Amino acid sequence: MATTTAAIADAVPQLQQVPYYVPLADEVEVFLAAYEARLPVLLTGPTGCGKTRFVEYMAHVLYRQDTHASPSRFGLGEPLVTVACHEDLSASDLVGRYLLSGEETVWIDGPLTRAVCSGAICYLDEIVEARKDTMVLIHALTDHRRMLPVEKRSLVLNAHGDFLLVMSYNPGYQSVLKDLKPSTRQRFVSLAFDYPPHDCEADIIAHESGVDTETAGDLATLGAKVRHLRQHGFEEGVSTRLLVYAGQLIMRGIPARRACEVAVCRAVTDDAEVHRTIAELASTLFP
Amino acid sequence: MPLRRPDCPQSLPTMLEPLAAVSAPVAERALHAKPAMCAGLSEAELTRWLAWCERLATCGWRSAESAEAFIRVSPFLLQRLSAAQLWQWAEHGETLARISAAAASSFFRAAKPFVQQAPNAALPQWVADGQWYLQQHPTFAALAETYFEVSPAVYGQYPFADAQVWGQLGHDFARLGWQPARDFLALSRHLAEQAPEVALAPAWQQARRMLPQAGKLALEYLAHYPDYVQRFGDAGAAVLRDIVDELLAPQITDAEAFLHQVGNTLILLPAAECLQALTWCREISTVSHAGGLAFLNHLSALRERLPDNRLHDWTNAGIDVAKRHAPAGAAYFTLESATAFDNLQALQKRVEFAAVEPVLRLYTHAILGRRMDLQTTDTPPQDVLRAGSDLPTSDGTSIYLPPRVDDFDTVAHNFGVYKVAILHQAGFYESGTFAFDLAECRRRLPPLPAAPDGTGLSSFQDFFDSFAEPGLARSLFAIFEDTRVDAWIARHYKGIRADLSRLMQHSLNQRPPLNGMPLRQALLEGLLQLSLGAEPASFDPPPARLLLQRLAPLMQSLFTAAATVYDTTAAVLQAYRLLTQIPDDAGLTFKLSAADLLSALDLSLTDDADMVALADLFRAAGDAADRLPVLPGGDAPAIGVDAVPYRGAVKPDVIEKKMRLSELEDALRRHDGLSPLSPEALKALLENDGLDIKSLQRGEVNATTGLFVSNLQGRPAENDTAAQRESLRERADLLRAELGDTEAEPVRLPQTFHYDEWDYLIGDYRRAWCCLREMPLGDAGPDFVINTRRAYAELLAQVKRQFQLLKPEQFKTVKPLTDGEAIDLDSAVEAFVDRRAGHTLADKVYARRDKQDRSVAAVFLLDMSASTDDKIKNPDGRPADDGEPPRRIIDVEKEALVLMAEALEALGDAYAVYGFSGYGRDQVDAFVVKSFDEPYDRRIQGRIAAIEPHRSTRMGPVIRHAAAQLGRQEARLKALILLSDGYPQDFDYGQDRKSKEYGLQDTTKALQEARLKAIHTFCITVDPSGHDYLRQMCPDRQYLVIDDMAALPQELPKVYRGLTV
Repeated sequence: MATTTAAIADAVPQLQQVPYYVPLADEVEVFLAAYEARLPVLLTGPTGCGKTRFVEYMAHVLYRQDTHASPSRFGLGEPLVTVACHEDLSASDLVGRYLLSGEETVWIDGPLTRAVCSGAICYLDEIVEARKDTMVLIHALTDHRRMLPVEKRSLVLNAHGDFLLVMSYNPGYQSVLKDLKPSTRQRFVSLAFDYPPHDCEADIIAHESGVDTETAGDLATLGAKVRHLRQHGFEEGVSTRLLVYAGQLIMRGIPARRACEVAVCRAVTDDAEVHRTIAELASTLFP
Repeated sequence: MPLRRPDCPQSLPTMLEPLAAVSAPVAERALHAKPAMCAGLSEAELTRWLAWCERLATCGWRSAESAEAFIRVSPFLLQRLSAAQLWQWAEHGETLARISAAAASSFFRAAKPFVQQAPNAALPQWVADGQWYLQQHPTFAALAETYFEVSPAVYGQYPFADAQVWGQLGHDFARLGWQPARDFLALSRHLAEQAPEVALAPAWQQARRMLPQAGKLALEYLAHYPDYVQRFGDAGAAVLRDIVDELLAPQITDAEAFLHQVGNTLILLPAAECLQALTWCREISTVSHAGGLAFLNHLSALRERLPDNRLHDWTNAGIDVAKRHAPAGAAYFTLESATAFDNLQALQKRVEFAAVEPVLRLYTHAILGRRMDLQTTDTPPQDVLRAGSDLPTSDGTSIYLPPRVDDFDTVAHNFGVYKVAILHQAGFYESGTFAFDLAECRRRLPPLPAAPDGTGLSSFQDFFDSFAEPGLARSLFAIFEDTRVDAWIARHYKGIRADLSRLMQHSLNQRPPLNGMPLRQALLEGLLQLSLGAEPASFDPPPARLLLQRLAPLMQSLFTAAATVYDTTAAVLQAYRLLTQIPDDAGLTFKLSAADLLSALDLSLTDDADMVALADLFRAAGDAADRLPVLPGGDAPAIGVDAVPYRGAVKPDVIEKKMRLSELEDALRRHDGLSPLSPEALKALLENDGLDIKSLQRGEVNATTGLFVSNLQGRPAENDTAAQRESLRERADLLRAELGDTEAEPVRLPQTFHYDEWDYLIGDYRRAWCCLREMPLGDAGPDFVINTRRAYAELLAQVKRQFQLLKPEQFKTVKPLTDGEAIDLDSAVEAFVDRRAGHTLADKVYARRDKQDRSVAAVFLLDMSASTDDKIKNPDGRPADDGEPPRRIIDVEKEALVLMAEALEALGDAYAVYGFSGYGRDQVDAFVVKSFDEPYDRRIQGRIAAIEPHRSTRMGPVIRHAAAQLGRQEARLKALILLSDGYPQDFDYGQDRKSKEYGLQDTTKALQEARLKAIHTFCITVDPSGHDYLRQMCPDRQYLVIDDMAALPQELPKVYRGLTV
């Protein structure tokens, strides 16, 4: 029975560069402490506010920086295993499955199994989107047992000492039906994220997109103003990510109003009135 | 008797004898005429003439008069005509005289003008026309008389053929009666005299067509016709006649309405436009009479909205519509169809508040970060704005904007005016105007005079009251703060700069010149113009320019990024000190030497010494200025400037008070409300010295009060919650009294919505045709619900159980897939079989279970029309007779509703319930039983009990309203269930009251619209004939006709289940 885990490990080591991340509060310290104690972490907050970037940044700190990385972690090629969860993501997608390949069946490790075995951080993005059966795996991994039952292979894997489970969860637009159960939620250290304050967001936009400080400031203002409309036709405000996109388009010569139109207006809503309002805001801010 | 004359036949006296025997005066008259007659006639003829005279004199009562008239005119006629023709005249006269001597006399009197003007050939017709009156009715003699008086002029002025028409027209009028004919003849005389150059014949012919139905109209038309010709020119009159011709058939009222419109509206337009308008009207009228009339009716409104070339486009588009379908054209030109509105909207460049309101609301919300109501200045708050003003303003909870903007040539520019106005009003909040604190102001501005007795209610008020002339301080503050806010906006919102500077320039162009103002006012106005970007050097006259050049630097600090409201107050203080050096009655003309003195001084405002020097300069200027005459007993001229439209008239103290009041009320509400504050919390609230207005600006309306600590802290009962609450209340009452707002709770008007209606006759929507009001329902207590629960306990339990079965998440197995959580056996076996058989192996052997969440939103619409008051019958037709009072349709509807609501609570679906009724398109009532965001509680139960029958059943708007409500829900599955007891009807649901078709078509369309929005619709009716129209209104299996009314409570949940699974 061949396994493809090795093939992935051969890939170019991840996270050679420091991901750009501006701490807004004490989240870095809290995360480090949680990792120290191997406490699973739950990140909550709206989309595009920097949760994933934060995890990447922490993985870099913990696996690539001399100050925090142990030798075993330092050498890990894939320190961060990210899984974007979706409605059809089942337990076997995480753990692995047998697939037919020619004349034989081949076991393929799932991302969670990979991280558990190698001692990486496994980051399950938007976990509530996944099917309920995934929770069974998570429960066993996140309490003192730290083990992953691989049902199909009749195995129970004990997690590598460096392994940590991080999940993100966006309470904003989820219906009540997709809420996280208390039994799940109470296994995690929760870090709440929100969009950064205006000036900080402007810095981020300027750094990520390369626009000048003034334009970045105006983009951040646009973000703040659009977020005032959260209740009108769209649940989430415009994300920092979208503002960065707008900045990147501006950098590549697209006029500012048009850049906001395609990166912000079209992205956050289909409602004609809200759409027009955002366009008017953009035209108010950008000449 | 001296009858003998030497040049006449000797026998004449003898010849006259018979005549003298009949009438001596006639004989006398004949004798007078004798010489002229003798000259023209032979003796035999003379005898014959006398015989005619005798015949005339004897042919009737008072016929001597007509004989006399004949004799009088005979010499004249003899000069022009032959003797034979003279006999003809006499014969005609005799015929007339037999009936009316007066008419005959008139006839003979008319002979002279007639013969002079008209061809002789016209004589028989002319006489016959006159004679006709006499033959028609004995009392018409006077008409004949008038006819003969008037007609010669007509025959003289117009061709014979036209005159004939005129004669016929006279007869037509006479057929209507004596009076119309008399009026016509009088009018004819008048027109012949007053407007002889106008060719009236075409109008006569039209007037003939108007008769016999509309005599009055015809007369009016004729009376005004010369005016039309004069006004519109011959070409215009021709068009007008074409239109009248077109409109005359089939009913005269159209023509009447048209002429009325012409008199009312068209006559006011310039001549060139009249011709254009008439030409359009003709074109429209040929396809649609109503359209043509409506066009004229709306013409002035249309012209107001569209310049000529665009009106042309709009009209031509309408004509095209009308050519395709006349009723649609009529609706187009009555401005009722959606196409008309859309075209108008596309063509007009002005921006209506109503059209952009949703966007502006969102925009305001986005800018300010909190809800701020937008209103038009049509409904201004009295304490903030004087009535009738359309200046934008704000009162802390609302921003008031003008109802329309039409200052610029493009929609974008006009819309920009709204944006700037909103940003300006929002700018007061954003840039910290209301962060103003008097104590802080005094700290920064030591020279500020102390207020005599500050009320402590408003920092602004106390600030203004610190000045001896608070009015001047207010004006200065308004100018400087507007300047600062505009600068702030331009700095923060770069995209608005173009709009702002355009608008500033536009506003500047509209400012009055300084000439003619008192000096002080001229300086204020000058300051305002400076704030709009005027160049200090541009002012006229020179003394004002020099002073304004000195004042201009005061504004500099306001343009800096760090400017705050305290910079404004500093500028106010300085400007105030300078302006008050100038006496009220100083004029704009100066003593010669003073101007030199002014220009010699060059100072910058850097320190106090300069200020003193500058003050001296202003005093000198004031002294050097000429004095304006002050009327004895009159006040000094009022000083003040009109506000700039986009900046509006903002009263900062009133807004401040309102904001404080709302904070206090909020605090009191929380105090009295569900979560009473602990004494500690209240104390903290009172002692919180923070500037809470700022918190309001940040949108945290809940973090409040503490503004009035200074006055509260000194009170002995500090720790006593009740006393503290009392002081809060006192402050609130004080503020209310200050604001003149004794009623704290404003009367809430029902929320109104406008919906289009489908008119199948024109094949278009009638835009904003129905006005729907969301009406509140009273509370009739919980008894009804309790009783219903008891009566239907068994059914309710059953339904709830069924519904709960729906509740769990349902999984659906999807197969075959390449990838899944389980192997699909069938496919797997097949795949293996294939492999064994040597075929290609199918890889779709997995199955997966997909989760389906229940996400349903439903609206129930309940017919509350008058017919639901009917008692229900058993299916066999007998009235129920089990001793209880017979139930009404509405009772069963309500019971079904209770059951449904109870069951839905178990299921957890979002739902809303509206009752509907109304009367007419302007009054469609949707009674809110339960809206989506209200929980099903005791209140809602009371409302269900309060449902009672009302009036008509106009379904279309209610369905559209429900669809709009559903549209805002996030559910995956949306359902609309309509419960009714008959076909849709209302007194104006379609033009034909008796026709059900209009209502059915509109309802059908409304249901279609809902389905297009992915809403599942379902109609339930208890009307046994419901199949007929429901089949038309709803697709198959989306309606239900319930024969047994009592079965509704069972059926409704079934329907719901079927619809939402």
